[in-house]
Amino acid sequence: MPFFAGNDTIRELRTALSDPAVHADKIRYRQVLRRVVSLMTDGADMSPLFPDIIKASATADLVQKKLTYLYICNYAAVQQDLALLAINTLQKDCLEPNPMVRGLALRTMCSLRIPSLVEYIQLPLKKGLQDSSAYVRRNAVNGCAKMLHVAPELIQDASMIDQLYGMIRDKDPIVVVNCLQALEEILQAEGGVVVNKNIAHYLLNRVQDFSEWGQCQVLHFLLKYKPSEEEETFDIMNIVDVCLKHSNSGVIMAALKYFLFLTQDMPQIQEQVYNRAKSPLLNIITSGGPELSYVALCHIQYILATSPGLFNRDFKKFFCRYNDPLYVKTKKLEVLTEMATDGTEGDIVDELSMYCTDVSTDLATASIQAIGKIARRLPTSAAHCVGTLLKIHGLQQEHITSAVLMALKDLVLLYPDIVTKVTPLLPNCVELVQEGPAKATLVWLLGQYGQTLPNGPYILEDMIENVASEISVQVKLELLTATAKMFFIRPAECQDMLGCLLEYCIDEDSNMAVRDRALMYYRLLHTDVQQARRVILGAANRPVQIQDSDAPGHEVIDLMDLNTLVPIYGRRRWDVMVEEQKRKQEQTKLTNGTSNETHMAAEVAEAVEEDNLEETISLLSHCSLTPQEFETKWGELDCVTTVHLDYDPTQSPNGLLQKLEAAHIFTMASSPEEATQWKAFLFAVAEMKDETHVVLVELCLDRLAATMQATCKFGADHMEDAVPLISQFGRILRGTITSFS
Amino acid sequence: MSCSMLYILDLKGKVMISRNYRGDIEPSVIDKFMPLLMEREEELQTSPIISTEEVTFVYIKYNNLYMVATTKKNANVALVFSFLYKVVQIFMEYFKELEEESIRDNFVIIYELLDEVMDFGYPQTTDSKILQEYITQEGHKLETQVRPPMAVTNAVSWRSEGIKYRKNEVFLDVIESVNLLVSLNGHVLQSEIVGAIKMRVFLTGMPELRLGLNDKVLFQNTGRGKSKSVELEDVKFHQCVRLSRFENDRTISFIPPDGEFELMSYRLNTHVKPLIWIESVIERHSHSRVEYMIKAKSQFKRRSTANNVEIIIPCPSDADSPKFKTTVGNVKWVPENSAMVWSIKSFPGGKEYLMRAHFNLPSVEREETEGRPPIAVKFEIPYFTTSGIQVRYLKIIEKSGYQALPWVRYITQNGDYQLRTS
Repeated sequence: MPFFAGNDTIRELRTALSDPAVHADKIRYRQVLRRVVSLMTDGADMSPLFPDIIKASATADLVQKKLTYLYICNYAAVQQDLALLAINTLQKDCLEPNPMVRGLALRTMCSLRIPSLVEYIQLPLKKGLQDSSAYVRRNAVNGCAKMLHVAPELIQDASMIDQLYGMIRDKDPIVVVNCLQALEEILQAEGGVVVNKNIAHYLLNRVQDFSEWGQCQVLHFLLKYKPSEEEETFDIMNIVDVCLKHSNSGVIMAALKYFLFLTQDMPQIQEQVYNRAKSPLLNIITSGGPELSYVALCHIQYILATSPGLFNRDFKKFFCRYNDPLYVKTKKLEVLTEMATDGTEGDIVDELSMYCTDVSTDLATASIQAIGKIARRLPTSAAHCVGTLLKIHGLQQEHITSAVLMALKDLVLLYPDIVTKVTPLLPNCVELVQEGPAKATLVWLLGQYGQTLPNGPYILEDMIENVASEISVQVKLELLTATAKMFFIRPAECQDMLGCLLEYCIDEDSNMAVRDRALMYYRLLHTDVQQARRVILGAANRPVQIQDSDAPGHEVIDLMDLNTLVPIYGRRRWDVMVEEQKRKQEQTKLTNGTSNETHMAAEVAEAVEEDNLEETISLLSHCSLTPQEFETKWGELDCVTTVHLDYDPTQSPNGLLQKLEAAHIFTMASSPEEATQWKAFLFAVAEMKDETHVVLVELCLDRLAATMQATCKFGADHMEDAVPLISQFGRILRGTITSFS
Repeated sequence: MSCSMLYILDLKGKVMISRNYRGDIEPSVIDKFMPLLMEREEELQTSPIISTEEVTFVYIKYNNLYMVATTKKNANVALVFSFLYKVVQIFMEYFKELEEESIRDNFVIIYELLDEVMDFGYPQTTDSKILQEYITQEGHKLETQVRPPMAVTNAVSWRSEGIKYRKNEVFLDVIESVNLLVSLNGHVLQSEIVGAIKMRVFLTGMPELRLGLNDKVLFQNTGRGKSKSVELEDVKFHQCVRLSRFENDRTISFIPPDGEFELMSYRLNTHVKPLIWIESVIERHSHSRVEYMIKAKSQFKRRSTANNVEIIIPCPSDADSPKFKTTVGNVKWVPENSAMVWSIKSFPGGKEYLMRAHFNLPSVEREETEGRPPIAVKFEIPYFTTSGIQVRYLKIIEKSGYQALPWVRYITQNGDYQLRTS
């Protein structure tokens, strides 16, 4: 949480930093620096001390150096001019005989992220790549990846890329992995680092040299190379087999994915792979720590969708331990539910029934629902499940009884023969079940099956007497239906109460749905009682089918999604999340306008949120404008917005203009292609709600920062009218420019 | 994986340490973390992964700290968790304890470590042995020439050259932990043995070690099928073991790291008789009292003895005035844990002991329901392994030809040992 560090603190620290007495005492000096860094961590603005810290960085004390460099990295972006002073020391440090210092300096330098300093960094970086110490080389390679966003032209240079490819053969394993990672980022636009047969075989042969993290990454990169022959595939699997034995769960998961990738077209072998991976996965669950256990469970759940039955024999491994955190228990519950088959369902249901008494009412409820789900899926298990549910019901606790009732409701529809077991329970539930949905279920059950109960009507009568205090609409609706149904079967007992209920619902209840249903029943009964009987009772006897939306087989599984967040959230949910993420990013970019436009941009963003696509604009494919007109209009229009865009340096400006033209945004004038300050004037005519509006654009390119700025002027009289126009034009512009392929 | 940032937060969510690795997110995103976590907790939707529109938080809780990694990509979370665990382990090896205090006290060194274990969001050197060689509590002077240890560049990345000891010794501990879960009606639901061979190595130079076990596969290969052997499952080795040789001829050969490390771990899923069996009869008379009758049985060979046995029996949190009666050991009530602990210093095999306990219950019953924690058992049986694994030899070869003494010790202990109660 940022807080204001008073000027006094800054002054005090500054005095301390320049005090010769403190300087002489290394420990004390370090203490002062420590305080600066710790205040910085707390979020206080320590940037005014920048010059003092730069002075402090020229030191022989390595710890002190590290602290100052940490500080410099943090504030360089704010103090760009002063950062130049730091470069001097850093450059000197790059020539130190001690490789630790060289590496540290190089790492720091590349982390500054200031475009104007690139020229100073270039040389040390290139030298670092050839350094004799692996430690320096590692940092240099990572440095390349860091510089990518600051100086793409330096890094995306052919010779640099060649050199990095060459360094994949470095003798230090960490350098190799760093190289792969760096190339992956640098060449992202072209699909990342290329792994051909040679590189793949080379990496495979060294796979054991790599650290655990290296192995994970290498296994990931190997996914880019698909062996052509079966024999080769088997050789590879033999080599990688050791990774499945690794003590790091991350490596095991990466190896598993790699195996599945290799055997994609060999379903039989894939089966074996699953079996091979089973025990490492199960081990993560029992001994990997709760978080990893959770991840493994998510993956098992994901895999189960394609290979149900894979873990059937090990179902006891998924039983909950008392001290498992709730998220692990919940996941285990889900997995157990999906795993239940004809052979194992008995044990699983017994185990699930143990969780009904868990302290967490949510787990208890979930376990009861799970039993219901198993009963629905496996007709053979229904009797056992229902028996268990009835036993659990005996525990006489509100949340348990509620959940049991709701589970039984579905089962009664599927297996009508259990009705005789369920109905006798109902009277006992009345006292316990008070909550909306569960109570509605209870009332429905009473209406549907309560006729056989001697006191059935009187239970309803009690409820009707208290109907005025009932808040749940659902309960009232069910109560109406239940009483009406009961009326047709035991009219003598029910006539009065139905009358009361109808009267209350029609005259006094404020809810429309309740009133409408009451009125409908009233009119039906009023018109023709026999017809009413057919209408109200008739619907109840139709056969039903209940489908669980999350039953296995519903999700589309892509094995390449393993080891990502997809199995954690499930495909569908993840897709939704990605959508949202994209939308959010668009919005923030739109809001990032310069200060005077911020207000408007915010308005635009708001509009986007409010009515996403209510009014659509289209750009006319033919329009013309003379340069003179352009100039006068540019001067006249005062409805302005600025859009900031990323520039992809591999894209030529002319190509960009062509693309824009294809989207009906035409060029008025542009600077020569190679100009450093490249600029273009564009225009378009937008049609919205049968009106046309002229849009003028000035597009400026900043090659160094790889960004573009588009100043758009709109031919609209009122800002308010133009909001959808502005937002949508911005989207079109962004879409066209970034749709680079 | 590429972590954008790594944070260490205290329980309230205040940032104690933050390290920005990639500079691609606003460091202030962490301000959203705590509110989100609270929100999830309220909805009982807790999970160690929280995704927002901008970033994904991947966190672990350790003591009173949150270690949070943020990532912008569709990351491999298993890897991130392994990394966080690893960082915790490194801190533990440096500071013994990992909690708010030790973070504050070792502020500088933590930044130094975070700088080395990860760069630009990718893990680098995380071997704490190696890190300890160039990042130390005392800090360094440049004059003393802190070079990256040879190991950082060595082919053998886990051991530096030039290690010297006056007395060359190797200690080898074979430790087997028993995980057990017993159902209410006395059925064993889960039972497994997790074994580990831990070493403490004090050897000069670059010694080459070879370990011989009574491994079933090896015995069958070499025609000694009849001798007593064990079948090891899921063997995992320390990085130093040459896996190819193990695959070929089951030889465990390696150049060990210096000091303490875990050489290998294995697992046995064979069903063994629970070493200590507990039977419990609990009679609850609501509003007045609850009575326990606990029977403990040692189901291992008579010549072995379990030491420091602790049987932890849960009792209602509103119980009071305990009375205990037992033939051996002593019983203590630990009201803060709602449990009683029956300790037996030494419990020989094939014996059976009994304990009775009596508590008063208040006449007014509590509103909220309590969970039913299981009975847990702690024990240690020296000179004994459930699996029957044996170290047949440990050969130590070094070019200087010194003699070194290997010491071997066997222990079986409890792992997650739970018996459910009604």
